[in-house]
Amino acid sequence: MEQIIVGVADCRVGHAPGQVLATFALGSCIGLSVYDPKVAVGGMLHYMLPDSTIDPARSRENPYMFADTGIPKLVEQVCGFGASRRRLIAHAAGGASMMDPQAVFDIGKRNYLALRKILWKAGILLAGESVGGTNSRTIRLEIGSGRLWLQENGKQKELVPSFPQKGGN
Amino acid sequence: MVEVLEKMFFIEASAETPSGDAAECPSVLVELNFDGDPPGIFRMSLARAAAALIAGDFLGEDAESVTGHQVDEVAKELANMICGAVLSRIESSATFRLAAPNLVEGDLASRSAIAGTVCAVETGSGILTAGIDIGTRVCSPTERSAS
Amino acid sequence: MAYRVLITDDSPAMRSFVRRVIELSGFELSHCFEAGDGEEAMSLLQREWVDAILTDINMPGVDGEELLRRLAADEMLRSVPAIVISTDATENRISRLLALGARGYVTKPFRPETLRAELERILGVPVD
Repeated sequence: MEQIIVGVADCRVGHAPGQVLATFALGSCIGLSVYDPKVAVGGMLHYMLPDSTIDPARSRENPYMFADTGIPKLVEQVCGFGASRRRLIAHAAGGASMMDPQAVFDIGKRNYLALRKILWKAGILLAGESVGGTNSRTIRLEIGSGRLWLQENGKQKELVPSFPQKGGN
Repeated sequence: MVEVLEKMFFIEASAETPSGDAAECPSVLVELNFDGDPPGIFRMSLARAAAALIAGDFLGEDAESVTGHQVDEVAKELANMICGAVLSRIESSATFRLAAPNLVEGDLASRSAIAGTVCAVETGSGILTAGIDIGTRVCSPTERSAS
Repeated sequence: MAYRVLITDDSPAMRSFVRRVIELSGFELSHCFEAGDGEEAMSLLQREWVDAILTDINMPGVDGEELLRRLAADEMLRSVPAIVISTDATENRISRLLALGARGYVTKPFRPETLRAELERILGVPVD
């Protein structure tokens, strides 16, 4: 198993069986996982903020910091490896209120709303989500099988089981 | 109102204190009558620039490519949903029945036209003001032209 | 399988939204008919077969409730599943509409995924 770590404000694509994409400590950030079961290609984005217009220079430097620049890039990259937008199975985790549950500027919530808006405009519906609350989360995507794992509060659970393997190895 | 804006329009709305001093800008004003116990009228005003962005988001298109007609139709549906959501939470012996929403044109189309119990939110691209006026009704465009 | 659906709502914006949800849910659509009220819907259904009807309730003219009554009264059409999409979230209304024959109910505002789940429940999960 080759574990590929997706850092904060980062995005990675996996296209070989045996690869696992993982991102850790999702607090107010959102981890977005997309997977095309037909070609076994997946991608993962870990973004921090909803809107790049607050710092266009920064978003040019690193588009993965923001939802509006990062998500289209993630989709573009997985499609570059043969995934089809129509077949993408998307899951989101994170968007928690980390500092204070009644936070006035709830970045977690804003990140989540940005995610929903951008996915809707990109023509992708979420297959599942684990968002909000106050816990930190970790997600892992197995490229060979499409299995998606979520770790929250010390407990691990399978969000998506293996997809049936098609054709030969 | 916040639930409607968040779920279908992806807007995080923050409460705004209605201010009489707030500068008026080109707005879309929608009103709709409702029957029930009690009957009344619901009005919603939204800055036109905000309405265009909201319409684009709702339809899954860029704001620049959305037509004026589409902006109006989305604003009407937004008003319909907010009104319906509010009335669903009112305890009443009768079922509320909403009439079709209408756009108000010209000088009447401003925030100051919102009467009754009023609530305003900042949508991030402009202020949305909504109000329910219980016990009154307004003439529909058909009734106005007939009179 | 390619589906034929009818969306009945007096709001063109809402019809566009619902249509987009159906398309993004993975259902292949061979036809997506639209009607502005119950009368238009019934008229269309006399000419065209559909696999599902999605209908608003509050519409001018023949409203959604009356449409459900007319569908239930029609020998051919009563087997077509109807999903109601409405702002009315009161238990009374929902029970009444389900009793009139609605197979599903989605309250506005709703997430696109909620309507997708209802469609999958009624039509089955689309396969590639």
